[in-house]
Amino acid sequence: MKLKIYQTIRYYPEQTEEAIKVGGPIHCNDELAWLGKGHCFWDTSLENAHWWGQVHYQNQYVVCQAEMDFNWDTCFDLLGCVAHRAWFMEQIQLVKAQLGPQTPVPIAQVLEMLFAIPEFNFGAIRANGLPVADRPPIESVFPQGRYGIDLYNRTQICIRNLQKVNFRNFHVLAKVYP
Amino acid sequence: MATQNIKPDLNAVGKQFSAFVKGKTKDELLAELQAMGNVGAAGPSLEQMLVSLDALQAQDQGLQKTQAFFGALSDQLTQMIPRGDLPPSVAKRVYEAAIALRKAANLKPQTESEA
Repeated sequence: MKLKIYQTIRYYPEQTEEAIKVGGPIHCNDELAWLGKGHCFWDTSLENAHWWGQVHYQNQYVVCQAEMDFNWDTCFDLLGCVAHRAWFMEQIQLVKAQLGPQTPVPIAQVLEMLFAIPEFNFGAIRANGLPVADRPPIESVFPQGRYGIDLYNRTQICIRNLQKVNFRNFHVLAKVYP
Repeated sequence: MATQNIKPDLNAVGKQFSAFVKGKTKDELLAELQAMGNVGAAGPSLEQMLVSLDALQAQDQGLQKTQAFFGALSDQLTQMIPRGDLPPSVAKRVYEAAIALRKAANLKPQTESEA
């Protein structure tokens, strides 16, 4: 399956589109890298890419678009693959059992540990980031009101190996600045 | 390149990861996790650090706290400036403040290339 993905970059007046294209995509390895080190993109949602630029780059940003191949052999999918989600939960519980209930499990570091194992050779991770505090209400509720489907979408893809997911066609889609 | 085409084996990974985790004490495991780097950790934003910097200078809290703060600031700069994820004007201000702090703390100033 082909996915369109979007990356938001802070805008600088001296940057040319060609420089962004040649220099990109941006690699993230700091405290914002909640899925571990890699190139972070928004999955499909252009709206999320603009939201990030508005909130984090004070409305001075560039949205880049690219394409990638997506499948469960190359992408560790914590959004859509039940097997991946269940397996990852087992690993988290394992770490939690060692650390104790009071110590939070650092997800990004656990993922880095997993990627240190050669057989964990995914090229990317996909996950939907949910806010822990002030979580938005579930909009799609079944008639009796006790269950619903969580359609809240802040889905990101963190690409660790660009070749492995056939990353291509990276280009500037929109510039937003005063 | 051939190994890159092998499908991830979650059973094998799970066994290795389980053996690794269970073989560590809590403190050893925490140390291993911390060794993975600052990824995904909740840390202060640059803006928050600038506010702290101003406050620290204003309060003149002494050398020890200045050094500790500079260490954190230096880590942030090391990651943010080369990545280009910082407006040049802000980067310059932070760099100058960092140099001033280092001088105040009698530390060797960082070179341009290091920053």
